Amino acid sequence: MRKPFKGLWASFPYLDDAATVAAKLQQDGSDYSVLSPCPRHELYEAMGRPTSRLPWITLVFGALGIFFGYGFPSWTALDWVLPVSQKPIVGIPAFTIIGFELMVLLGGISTALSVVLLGHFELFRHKLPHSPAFKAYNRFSNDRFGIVVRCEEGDAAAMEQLMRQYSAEEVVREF
Amino acid sequence: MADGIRRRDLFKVIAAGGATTAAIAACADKPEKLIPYLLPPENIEFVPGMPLDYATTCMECPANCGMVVKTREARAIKAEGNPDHPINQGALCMRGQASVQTHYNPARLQTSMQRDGETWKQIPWDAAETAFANAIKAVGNKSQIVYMTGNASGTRGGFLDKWLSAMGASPKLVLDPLGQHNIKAANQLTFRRAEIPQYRIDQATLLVNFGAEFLETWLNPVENNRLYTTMHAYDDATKRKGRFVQVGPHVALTGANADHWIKAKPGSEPLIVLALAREVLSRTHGRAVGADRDRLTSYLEPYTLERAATESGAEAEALRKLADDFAKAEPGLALAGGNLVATTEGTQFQIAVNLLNYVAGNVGRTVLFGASRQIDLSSSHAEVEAVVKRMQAGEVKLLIVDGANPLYHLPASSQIAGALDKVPTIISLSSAWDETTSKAHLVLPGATFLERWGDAFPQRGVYSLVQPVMATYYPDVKAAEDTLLSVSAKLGDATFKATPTYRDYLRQAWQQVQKEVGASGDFEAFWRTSLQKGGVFRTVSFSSSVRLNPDALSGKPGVAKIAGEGLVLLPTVSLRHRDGRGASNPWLQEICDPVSQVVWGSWADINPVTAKKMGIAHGDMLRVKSPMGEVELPAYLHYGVHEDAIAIPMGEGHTHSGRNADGYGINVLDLLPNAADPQSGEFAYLTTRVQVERTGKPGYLVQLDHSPRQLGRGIIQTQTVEQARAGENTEEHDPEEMKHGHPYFDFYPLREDQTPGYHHTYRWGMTIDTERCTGCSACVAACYAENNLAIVGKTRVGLGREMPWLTIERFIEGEGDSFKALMQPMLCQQCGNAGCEPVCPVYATYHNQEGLNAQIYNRCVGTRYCSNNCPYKVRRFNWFNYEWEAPLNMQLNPDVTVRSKGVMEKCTFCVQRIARARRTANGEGRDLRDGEVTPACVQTCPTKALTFGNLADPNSAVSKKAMRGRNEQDKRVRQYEVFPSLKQHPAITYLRKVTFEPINQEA
Amino acid sequence: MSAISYSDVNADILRTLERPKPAYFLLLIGFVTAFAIGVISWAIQIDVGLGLSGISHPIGWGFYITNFVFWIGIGHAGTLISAVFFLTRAPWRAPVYRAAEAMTVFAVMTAGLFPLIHIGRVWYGYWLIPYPNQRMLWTNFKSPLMWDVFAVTTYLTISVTFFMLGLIPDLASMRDSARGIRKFLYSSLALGWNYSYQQWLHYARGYLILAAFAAPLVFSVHSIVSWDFAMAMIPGWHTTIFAPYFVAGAIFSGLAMVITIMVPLRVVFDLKKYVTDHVLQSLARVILFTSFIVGYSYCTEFFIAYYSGVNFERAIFYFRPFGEPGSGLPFYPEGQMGFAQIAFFIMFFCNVISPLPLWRWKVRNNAIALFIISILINIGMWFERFNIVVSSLSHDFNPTLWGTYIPTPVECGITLGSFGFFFTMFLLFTRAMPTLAIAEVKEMLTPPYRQANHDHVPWREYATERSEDKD
Repeated sequence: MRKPFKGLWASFPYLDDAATVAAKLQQDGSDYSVLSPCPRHELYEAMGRPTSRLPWITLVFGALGIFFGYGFPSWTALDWVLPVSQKPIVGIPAFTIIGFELMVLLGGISTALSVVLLGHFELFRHKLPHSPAFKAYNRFSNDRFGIVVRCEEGDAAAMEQLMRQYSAEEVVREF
Repeated sequence: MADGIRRRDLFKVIAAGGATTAAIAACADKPEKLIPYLLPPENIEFVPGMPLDYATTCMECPANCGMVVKTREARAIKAEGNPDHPINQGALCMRGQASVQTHYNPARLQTSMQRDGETWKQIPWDAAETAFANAIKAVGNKSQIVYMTGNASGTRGGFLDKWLSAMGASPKLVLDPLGQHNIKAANQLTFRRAEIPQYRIDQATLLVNFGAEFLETWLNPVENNRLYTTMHAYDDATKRKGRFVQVGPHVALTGANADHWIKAKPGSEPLIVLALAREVLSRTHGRAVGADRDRLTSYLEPYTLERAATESGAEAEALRKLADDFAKAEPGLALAGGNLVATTEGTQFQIAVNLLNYVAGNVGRTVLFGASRQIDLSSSHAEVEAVVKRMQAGEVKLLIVDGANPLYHLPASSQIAGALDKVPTIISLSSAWDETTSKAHLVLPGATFLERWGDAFPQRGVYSLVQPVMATYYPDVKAAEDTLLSVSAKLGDATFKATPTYRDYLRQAWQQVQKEVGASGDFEAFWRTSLQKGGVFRTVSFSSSVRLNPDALSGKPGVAKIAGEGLVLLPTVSLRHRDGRGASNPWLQEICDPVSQVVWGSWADINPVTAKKMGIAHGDMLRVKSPMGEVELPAYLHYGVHEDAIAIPMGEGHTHSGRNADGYGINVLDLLPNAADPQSGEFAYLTTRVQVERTGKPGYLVQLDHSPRQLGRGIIQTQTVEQARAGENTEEHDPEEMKHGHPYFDFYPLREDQTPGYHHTYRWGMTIDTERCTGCSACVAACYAENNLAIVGKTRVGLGREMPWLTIERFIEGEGDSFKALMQPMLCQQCGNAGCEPVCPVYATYHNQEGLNAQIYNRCVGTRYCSNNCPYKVRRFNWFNYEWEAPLNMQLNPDVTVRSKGVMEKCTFCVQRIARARRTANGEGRDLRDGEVTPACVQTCPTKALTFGNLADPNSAVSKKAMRGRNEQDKRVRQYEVFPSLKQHPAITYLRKVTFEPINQEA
Repeated sequence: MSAISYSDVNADILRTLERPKPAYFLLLIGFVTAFAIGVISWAIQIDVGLGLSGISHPIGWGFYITNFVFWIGIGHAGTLISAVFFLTRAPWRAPVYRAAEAMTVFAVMTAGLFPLIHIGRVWYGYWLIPYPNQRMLWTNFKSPLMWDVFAVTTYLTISVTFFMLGLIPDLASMRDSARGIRKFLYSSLALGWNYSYQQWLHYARGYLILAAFAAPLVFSVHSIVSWDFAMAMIPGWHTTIFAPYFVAGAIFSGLAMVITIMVPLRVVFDLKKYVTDHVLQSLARVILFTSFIVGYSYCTEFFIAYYSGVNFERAIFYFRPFGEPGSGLPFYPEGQMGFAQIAFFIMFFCNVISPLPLWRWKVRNNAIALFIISILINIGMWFERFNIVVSSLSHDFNPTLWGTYIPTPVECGITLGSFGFFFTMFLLFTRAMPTLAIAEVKEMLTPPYRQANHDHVPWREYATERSEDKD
């Protein structure tokens, strides 16, 4: 953690309001985060369709899986040759199955892990409030949309004004 | 196995073994010295881990084949034929193979015992002998002492006579329900030679058989098998093949091998024989008989073919054709014997057969006299019956039984049970529990023939020795002869002073033998070499010229009179148990009867037509009633039995012979009246009819086969003589291949050279000549013995859990009287492209360098995928941890792992033998020679149907037979592989059966 | 669904996790007992030997492999629904997929036991894993069983991962509303989920990719299982249609099992307004479809057997319906019926005939009818596997070594135990985790708008395409 959280957060009962606020913040390029009970395309659009690097990780591990899937059986087969019924010692068709399975296995596990990890990396860069008030507030998992803005104390007034304008239920400053 | 051996025993055995072997003959008395096994034993001959073979003689049946017993660490583990022995020439039958189980029989008598009320009281040996002596003393009139033995071979007979006369007892009785008295009596009457002639089956071109089960138990089956195949099997070189016609009411293994079966009413054979004789005589114009011609013609006048045909129910045409062939045959041979011709006029019948052979000019060519074969030394039923009568009259005070089991082997109708009760003292010298011994008062356990001295003279010029191959397994066991000697000593009898032990007596006797064979040199050397060879074998020439005795033409044989209502009872001989003495050998119980495929118990062969009439289905429990008694046993529908008859094999239904025999099946003798042939005194088997009815209960009949049809799958293929002679390969006619009409292609063609480590110097393979295989099942027994195969018992076999690696498969082709039962061994085919290998996830089975499907027991996890994927279904799975009831575990072969539960197992061509041979070869820095390795099955095959060797070597015997097309000139005629369409490339090549009439094999 | 609000969803689903009725515990006890019976039977079998099962020579595989294939099949519906229908955006997926996925996980766990149960030396089962050992003894990757090991373990891992990933947001909302030990449990499982878009972004993308991975897995796993048979040369096994045939069968039985579970579930937990009749009848449609594929495969098998002209093939397909060939021998009765024939006819009726009523809209929308049919299908599919495994083995190439199958108490006990295990696990799951996917159900709902008019999208006028995340 480079610096403690400075800024304010607000909760919205309505999706369209939250989306609009997000869009505005996105427009004037302030550092903000959006919270919502479930992923919604409105918010996604409002935030300007952010992208994820996750697929690249999957690709790498998937490829690794294929490599092992062919490599390992071939090596074990050649390590000590045990012929079985005239079948080629390195049986590519047979090993294809192993290749496929390992690709899925490594690819899948790496994906799942990176979902969790990447999410947390982002949070290092864009912090959320640490205040007990924020922690105690558990309706984002239920039916409220939230916007967190990281800003200097000076801009706080303007920000709060913006939130209020879009009928934020409550706005909390944390400095 | 380790828990099976008690430490002290092990030491005794080793020490004794040492003594036995030090000088091959030194088993005079038990050694005192115990040799700790940890230190290298000094005074013993064998190297631990190395097998040591002893030549001896098989005593399982009176045929007395030469035998070599393999011992390891001084315990007998495997019996094999003695290759030097002229009669069996290295082969053994299944009973011979199982003799080691007789030796390690769990039901063996272990110590001397005395009856005390209903229970047995163990007494010290010396006390027992004293009791024996006193028992003899106690008998006032010494002629009231009776001695019954099961074996009087060689010197033994004379010894017993001498001992009995010394005691003043009445002459010995030798019990064998399967005597040959009719033949001997008939020969006496016809040719004035009271002996069993030598049948040169191999010389005949046409063999006509009346009831003699010569491939099963009759005379010497091992020899018969060999001679028979020599005559009958199609010879690829000379393209010759003899014909074999079976005449009679029943088809068992022997009949199943016949080219043609002429079904005849039970007991009607005499008419057929005489009719044939008449025809032959008229056709050959009495060429053979010279002066006797007119007499014979007039004698044979009434026996016309038509009469024979009508009274026997056989087709006249078949008979006429047979007569033609028999007249033409150069030479022919008519065999007759066995239970189904043992009527009250058995001797007359045998005379008739003699006439037939005589008029056909076979006597002197295929029937040779002068060999003085000692194959049957038994007392006739008449003699035995006389003694039984004496017992009933209470005139027998002391009965000594020694390997004889009258209570089981005599029909109940002879009142033997009651008679035994009348005998105040019965002493048993038998080696194992049996019905009679269970009635005894004093038991001095005898030794098995693997533990004692003895000899046999099966025929002139053959002097065969019996020597102990190991010390008596139980300390308190003694050879009967030695017991007798020490008893006579106790009685202060001086007869045997010079020879305190039977070994001494034997040596004395053999000094005589030395003179006979005219062997020079000192006796010790002679004795030792004889022991090493297993005896002295000389080819002696003897004149066999005989003249017909006119008085023989007195009798007027007709169809045998068979009393009673219902179906004629045919008490057949069991291939596996003979007369029942093998019944306590688990192997013999679990190896199936090749024709019926039945295990563990008796069955009643009944013709489907009759069965239909009586509403009997296969496997129904029948009640079979005769005036003498009644039994219950399952029905077995079998085309090979006359509609008017029911055939029940002997040998089962024991009550006191140990848990492997007791309670399985029934004893057919319980149904038989106590009748005998007046002329020979032979027991008459074919004398009664029985009433057969369903009990309504299902019978418990366990068979190894599921489908008796091979449904056109070409597992056992046949071709006609014409095809074979024309060199026509019927491979193309493989039903699989023709259906598609296009040639196969291989996804995985044999690339034996490219695949690394494939078939390096060796590619072990086998050929199986189904033409030579008679289905005698010796190979199966050998496999059980060599590879520690588990015995699973009746119920588990019933669930398909039997464990043989090698089975005799039987398929039935055709229907009704013209049915054919085809048999062939099926074992692991060691495929080059095996289905079992690639599916094993842990490489527990793989293709080894020498082309074997190696099976690695301790790597196997037991997925059973390999077994599923084996088209031949020759893999066996260990469903449980199987146990070897002590002391059977002592027979286990130390070279072969005993498999634990959850492991797959299978044949690997006796890989342990290959390994041992290779070690020797490597020691001498060379490759294995052809024929250096022989798997157990190949070794024991009496007909040399199996050939084993290296397919990679084009000059090996097996390659020459298999004709794998390695070189161009290979022209396959009879060669085929099973299921070629599956492209398993099996290492086993079968050679087609060659038949005279084509056999339709369509599904 | 428009009536439902976000908070209703939370409320409804949280309600399912409150203290259950006593009936629940009775049910649980029942299943645990069944499971116990299975465990005891297995213990006895390990001690005495496989001979206690009906498996014998030549029928090397019996109930156990049948159960294995059966449970793997059951284990297909979950991933099918959650992955394939996620990709195809099937609207009725959300309410059923969580339960279906749980079912999948437990079914595959159950299935995974059977290879161990059926091998002769289970104590060496680990030899099937290619682990480095001193002797460098490796496994045979050419063996279909080895493929199985990889396919099944992969499938289990992936479906568990997929399951857990889908659970994370819901666990978080559990966490927010739970207290005590549960709070600790849920918050540790939620992996610090906080509903921020930093997480939703990767989550959505990751879930999509995982779905894309799982989808082919659905089809590959049962194909590979089918190759256990198709790679062998036994007539009746050695067919090219096995892969699609098995996959269809798996989906067929799996969806049937989903219905078997969902129908009571939605009653007990009163979730009718989420698991609507529409959802069920959509499942029913897929069932009907797969039932036809299966039926078609049956016919194909027979036709090909005839058309190939291979008499081994013909023989086995004659045997299945008509019994022993007999071929005119009085002591080898023709058409003798046995277990195999019974299995065949049950299979045919349950899988081909019994789903036919589903053509009618009324039946499709009748939960009771669906339930009954689904049960029949489950039975039918079990017997299909039995029919394939056992009857093929019992009558293969060598007629003299054909055999018959006699089931034994031990293997029945183990089979019973497998059902006990499966349902015990599932019952425990319904108590511990949300049986509906909260977040995804919310996605289905219309979100709270201030303007009722949804075409009014104020943010659009400000929305800007972001070039790249800038710090």
